[in-house]
Amino acid sequence: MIDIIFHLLFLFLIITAFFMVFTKDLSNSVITLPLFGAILVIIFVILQAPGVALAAAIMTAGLTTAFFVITINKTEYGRNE
Amino acid sequence: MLYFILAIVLCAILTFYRVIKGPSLPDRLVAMNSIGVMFLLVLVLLSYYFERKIFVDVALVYGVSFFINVLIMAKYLKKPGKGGVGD
Amino acid sequence: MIDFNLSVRQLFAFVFFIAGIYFLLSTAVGLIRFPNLYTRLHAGSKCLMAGGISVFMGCILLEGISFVSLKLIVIMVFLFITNPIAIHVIASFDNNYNLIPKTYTKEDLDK
Repeated sequence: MIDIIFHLLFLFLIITAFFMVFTKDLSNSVITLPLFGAILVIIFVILQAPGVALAAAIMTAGLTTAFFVITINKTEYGRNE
Repeated sequence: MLYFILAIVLCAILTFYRVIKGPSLPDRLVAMNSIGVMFLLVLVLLSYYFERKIFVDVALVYGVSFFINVLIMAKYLKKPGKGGVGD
Repeated sequence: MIDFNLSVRQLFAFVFFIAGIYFLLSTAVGLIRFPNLYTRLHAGSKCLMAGGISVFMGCILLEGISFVSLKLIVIMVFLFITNPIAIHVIASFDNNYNLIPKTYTKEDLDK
């Protein structure tokens, strides 16, 4: 039963990654990034690694996305109108 | 316990449809917030399935980090020139 | 007697879990089927908080009185405070786009 959840989460991870790469707008890609980190945290928890899960929860789901959003706000992206 | 986890993961995959096909940016933000809270519940239930209480700490840190993330997105990810949230 | 008590507690916890999963499923269906942004905000705030609080109450009931239960109460109160704040910030983020709900027309606003 845990195998079904594990493979379903891997399928969801692949869908999220392909949507992040192939979308047109940059904001949609940034919005999907913390979901990628969240699925990664759940996979680490299922694989019995709480330390790596703590580090991934802080870095991938938290700080990286915040830095990307602030960097996009500093540039001239989307200000042409 | 595993049937509940499977049901919540299926709900999250259903909600991801709104992230793919949202007409505007706030729709995607609301769907992203919902998927985040669902994954927090999955983490808490997994802590009860494996019976290791250290996993509750992972859920707590993940919740704090995700809330700060949503706030920063709603503050900075806007089209400039029409007056922001803080103005 | 202790075993009877535990089984009754597990029964009530499973009732709470099933109620929470019903609310989360209604959240997913509402986010897919609703036509407007504001109705989606409504589905994303109320039903989601009902499901989350139900699942946390089931976990607390299954645990009993211990230190882990206090951590769960802390997470629940944190979620109960911060999710309406996030929804409110997203709703005020929407004002930048000058979206008008479908039930009002522009002539009604000009009067």
